[in-house]
Amino acid sequence: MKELAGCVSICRAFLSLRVAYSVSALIILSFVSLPAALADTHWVCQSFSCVQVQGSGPNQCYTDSDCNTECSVNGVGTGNIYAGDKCGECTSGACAGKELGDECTVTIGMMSTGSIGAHSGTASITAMKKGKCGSSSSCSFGDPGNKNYAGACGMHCACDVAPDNLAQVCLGEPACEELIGS
Amino acid sequence: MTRFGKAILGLCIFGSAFLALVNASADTHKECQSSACVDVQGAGINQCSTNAHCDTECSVNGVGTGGLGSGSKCGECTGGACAGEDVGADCELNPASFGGSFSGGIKGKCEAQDFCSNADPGGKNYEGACGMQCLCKVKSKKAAEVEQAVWCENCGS
Repeated sequence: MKELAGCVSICRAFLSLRVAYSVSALIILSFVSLPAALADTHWVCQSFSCVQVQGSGPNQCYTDSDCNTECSVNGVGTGNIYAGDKCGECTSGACAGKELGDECTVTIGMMSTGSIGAHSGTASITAMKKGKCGSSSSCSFGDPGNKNYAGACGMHCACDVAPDNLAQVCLGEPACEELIGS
Repeated sequence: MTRFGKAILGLCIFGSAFLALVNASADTHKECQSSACVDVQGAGINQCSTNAHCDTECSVNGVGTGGLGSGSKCGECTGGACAGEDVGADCELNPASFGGSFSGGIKGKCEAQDFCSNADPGGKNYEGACGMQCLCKVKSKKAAEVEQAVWCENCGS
């Protein structure tokens, strides 16, 4: 009988140790994984609401107003409403009217000065580079052009020609026409 | 129930009633009525803070416009989808910038944000009865989804 009682107490001790271990492991795991999980989320506009989604990315909104209210510039309505992933009211240039991740083309050089014998002058050369429309913030949380954007104004985009963004350079008109057209 | 429990329950009921009373008295806003700025019961956007915002010609940057904006109208400072509309009127936003998921305009309601003379929209100085600064707000997520579903049913035909 004594042996049986001893066995039961040993089993209990072992079980309580296992439980304690599991609880500790869970606590440690939550401390390690929670900040990582929280860091890897961002806010996007879905069906006129601002919702948190998994994964990293630029925030499109912070409140529902950033998704469901007419875009206004300096307090005056524009009559437009932008989807969260659209390059918005504050985007001009190569990414105007495009979506995040769309291809874009920027001019990287236009003029060249040189001389042949006694003649010198400036010739225009078209040089362009292809990239992708990237964004780090929405129009409403930037202040691009020192204007106050509010509501669903879309994203503030710029053409990014980083090497991993399919960077291609063309020189001269036929080559550039081909690049832009492709 | 114990005496202590009854005391706690009584305290909760009294506290709730007191809070409700305080909230009710705080829920007032100002409106233009008969060319005067008056307090009105209930929550709402202020249309004015003085009588001048209801009874004096609207002026922009010190120049009279010849208009007397009503407190219930989207006023001189409203552009875009709600220009010239009543507060609460239907409005339509440009769908072109929304990725092509809507065939017609994106429908919403004109919501007042503030009164023009208080807001400074467009960096302009509005004074007098200039009406409300409105923006078009799209219907709730559910209503928009229903509208989109109806539109999609019609898409095929």
